[in-house]
Amino acid sequence: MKKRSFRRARPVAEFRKEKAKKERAGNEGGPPQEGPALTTDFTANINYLKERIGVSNDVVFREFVFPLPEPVQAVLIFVDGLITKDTINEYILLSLTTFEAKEADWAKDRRNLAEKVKDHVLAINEVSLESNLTLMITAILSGETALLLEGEDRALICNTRGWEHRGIEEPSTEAAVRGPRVGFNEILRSNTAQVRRWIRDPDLRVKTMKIGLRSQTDVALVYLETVANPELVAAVEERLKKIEIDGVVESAYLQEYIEDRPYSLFPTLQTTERVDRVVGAVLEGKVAVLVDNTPFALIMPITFWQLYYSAEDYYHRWPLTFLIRVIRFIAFFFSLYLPAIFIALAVHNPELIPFNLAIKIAGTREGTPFPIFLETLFMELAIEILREASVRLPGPFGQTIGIVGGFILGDTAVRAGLISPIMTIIVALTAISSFTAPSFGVAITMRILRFPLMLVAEIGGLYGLSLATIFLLINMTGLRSFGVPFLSPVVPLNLSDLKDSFFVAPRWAMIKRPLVNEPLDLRREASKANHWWEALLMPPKHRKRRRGKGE
Amino acid sequence: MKTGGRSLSARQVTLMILGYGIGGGILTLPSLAAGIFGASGWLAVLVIGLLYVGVAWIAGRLAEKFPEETIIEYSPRLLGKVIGLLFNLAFIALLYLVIPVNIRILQELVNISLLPGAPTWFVSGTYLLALAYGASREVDQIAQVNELLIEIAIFVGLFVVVASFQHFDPIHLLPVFSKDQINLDQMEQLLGLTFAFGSLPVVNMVVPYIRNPRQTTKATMKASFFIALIYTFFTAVSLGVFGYKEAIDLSWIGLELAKSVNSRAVILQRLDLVLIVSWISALYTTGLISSFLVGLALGQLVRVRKKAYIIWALVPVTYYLSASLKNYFIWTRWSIYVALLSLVIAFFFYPLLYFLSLRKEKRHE
Repeated sequence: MKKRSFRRARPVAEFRKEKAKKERAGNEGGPPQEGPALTTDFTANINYLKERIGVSNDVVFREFVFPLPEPVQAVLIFVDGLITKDTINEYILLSLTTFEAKEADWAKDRRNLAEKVKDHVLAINEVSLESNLTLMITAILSGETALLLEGEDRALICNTRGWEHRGIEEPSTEAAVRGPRVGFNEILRSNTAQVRRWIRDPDLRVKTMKIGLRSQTDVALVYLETVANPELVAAVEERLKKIEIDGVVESAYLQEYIEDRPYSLFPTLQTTERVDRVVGAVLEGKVAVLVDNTPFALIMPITFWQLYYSAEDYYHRWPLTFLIRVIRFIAFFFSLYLPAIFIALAVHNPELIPFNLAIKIAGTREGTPFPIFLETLFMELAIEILREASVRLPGPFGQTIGIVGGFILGDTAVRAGLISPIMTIIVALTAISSFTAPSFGVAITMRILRFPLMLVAEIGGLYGLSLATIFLLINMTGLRSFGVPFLSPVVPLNLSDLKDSFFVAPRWAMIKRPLVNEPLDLRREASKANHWWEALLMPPKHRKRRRGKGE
Repeated sequence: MKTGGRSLSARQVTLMILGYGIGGGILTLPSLAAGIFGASGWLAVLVIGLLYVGVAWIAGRLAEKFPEETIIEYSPRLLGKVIGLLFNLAFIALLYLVIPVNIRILQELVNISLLPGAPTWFVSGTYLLALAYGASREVDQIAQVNELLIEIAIFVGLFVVVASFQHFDPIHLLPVFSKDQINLDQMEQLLGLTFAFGSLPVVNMVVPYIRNPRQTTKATMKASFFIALIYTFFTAVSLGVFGYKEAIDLSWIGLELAKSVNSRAVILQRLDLVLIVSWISALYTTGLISSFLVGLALGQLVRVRKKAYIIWALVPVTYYLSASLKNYFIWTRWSIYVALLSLVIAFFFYPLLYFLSLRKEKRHE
């Protein structure tokens, strides 16, 4: 396998790490990595814990007596609201308080009591022993229940996690006509379980780590061990481990830390709340990062073109997908360039516009008070304001704002002679085109880039636009997503990966996983063909059989 | 995917040679060919192109012999320190002087069509900044930009050529090598004609970045062959459409060819501006690769690791040179010396260096 070079996550990462370490050294507020250990002094342990977390009213200390021949003081510590009360009541408290010591020989000897309770009393599937107080506190704050026994320097950590959460629903940001109607929710375990349901492969790995000095957020790396490039997995893991912030509220927090070029306007990781999308990516040899408390997963590495693929693309027959993608890329061009090209042609090169059209445009613009550039700028700004307003308002109001703004405001402005009708067409077409981008991140980038391009068109016309495009291209060719060139497979050309680009080969011809991911297991389908263009001439076997039977 | 290091594929090297070779010259080449060889100018272009394919083999083999070094590094070892230094200076001058010529052509194309009356400082200045910005990037980034832009330019150029077939008359291409039409005494134009093919220095500078150096010769020959083919095709169609007499008088014959294909206006009234817009990318690739190579070569010569410093330091000098002459055609007359230099390097120094490298190899054996 070729050696792969991954760029460092952030040039300032080292600096931040050093700074965070220094700050932590002088700051006792954040939880240190190494903390005090439990002692055999039961009261001292409880006092320490009460001092650290007992001030909050939601932390419960339930003291009781464990009825051994020589009764033992015990305490259960948990956070109300993060646990399932039934589990604690029925499988911990009931088991411990109604325990009949006479029937158990082991109860006569108090040595290694914690371990014996774990093995003989608790009817909980996940129990571990912990002697570090800091880790114990983290476990309690994560929804687990700690059981402390008198005279023991180890606590029992029982998994009793359970809290109110949203059910599995259809993703609201990535609607699809065809495909599964399930999206991620805010519960990490539920999300990893969903991926597991899709891929029942023992090689599917879910590596969990905690990120956030204060939030201690669970973050899971999901990948196929025998498919994903180990260097890619290691790079993702390394970048995640380098993050030292106080809290991770959403996966976007991590995204900004692990991107190759944090200053770029273009997103170089994909965000999705669709389970099928993550599953598809993992099967292609990519790595997904799922974060607790958010339905948005991160997928890496990606290319620019993939930001314009929808999960649904893979559920339609290939000719339709091909057509949809062509339309989507035309829409991408419109969303970025249409107002700028209109300005360039109208201001600098009106001779390029066909004569009849030019006359019409000139006619409709008669009497409008603003120059073309300002008119376009005002209209684009108005559209952006409308869009923002409709997003902020609740559903039905948002739609109303869209209709009122789009139709009534636009129509009134034209009737009042403030703007020309052609301008409303241009701006509306641009806005509609920008909605076709399946990735919200790239749609925003296009919206931002549209404004400088309009300015460039006003100053330099088509020449200025050509130079601006070259600047944009230079910038985009410099982008990497975990070492993968952003414009791949178009530049550098990768014929094998073109099967899933503008052009879409039939599913049965996609015999290899994308090469840009440098997967360990290249083949995704048993076929005699070596390349997809060869596979195109070898339709699936069962079809031949059917034809042979005279169907 | 590696950045820097050996990151270029053979295809990218082929396209870099194409990107460097195919620039503004193609818009004027048919006129030059017609001026010297008359109706058989296209055949002369083919012959010269094939001669360069032969030189490409030598340049490629020479590069393969030193896969870890650029020509700037190994030429002093083969030619001796003094001659090596002089050769290097001439080689860098050849690479560098392409840039002001390139800027001048762009300035004129933009003034003719896109922005009539736009001041030189604006057009040349912005273009020069774009060149410096691009050239100070990594080699793989430059290869990628070139890969995309040159393909677009060639595609649009070929579209124009194919579309202009409606006015093509094969009679215009005959007679072949008629004595009455050939004016070999026009040395200046003949040199200008050969200059269009001088894109071989690219390979001897980028070989340390090629992923598989053994493919260098093949990539170089393929690029030279494509250049010969594209120039021949373009010249043949231009002469076939206009006839050699008319072609001689048309300064920007490529643009006239684009104007000739204007059909009924549907989306745009004129198609020639589309050609110009796409041709800006062809010009840009030439300027970009030249600037990058100059930065690289000068950096190696004066031992400055950051080529970006050199590239940005040369910006005012390049601007002055590009703006100092009145128009591109004056440049053409002036640049005869540059063309001569290109010929000497291609047909004398490349074979000499290759011969010396073979001799050195034998000695080691």
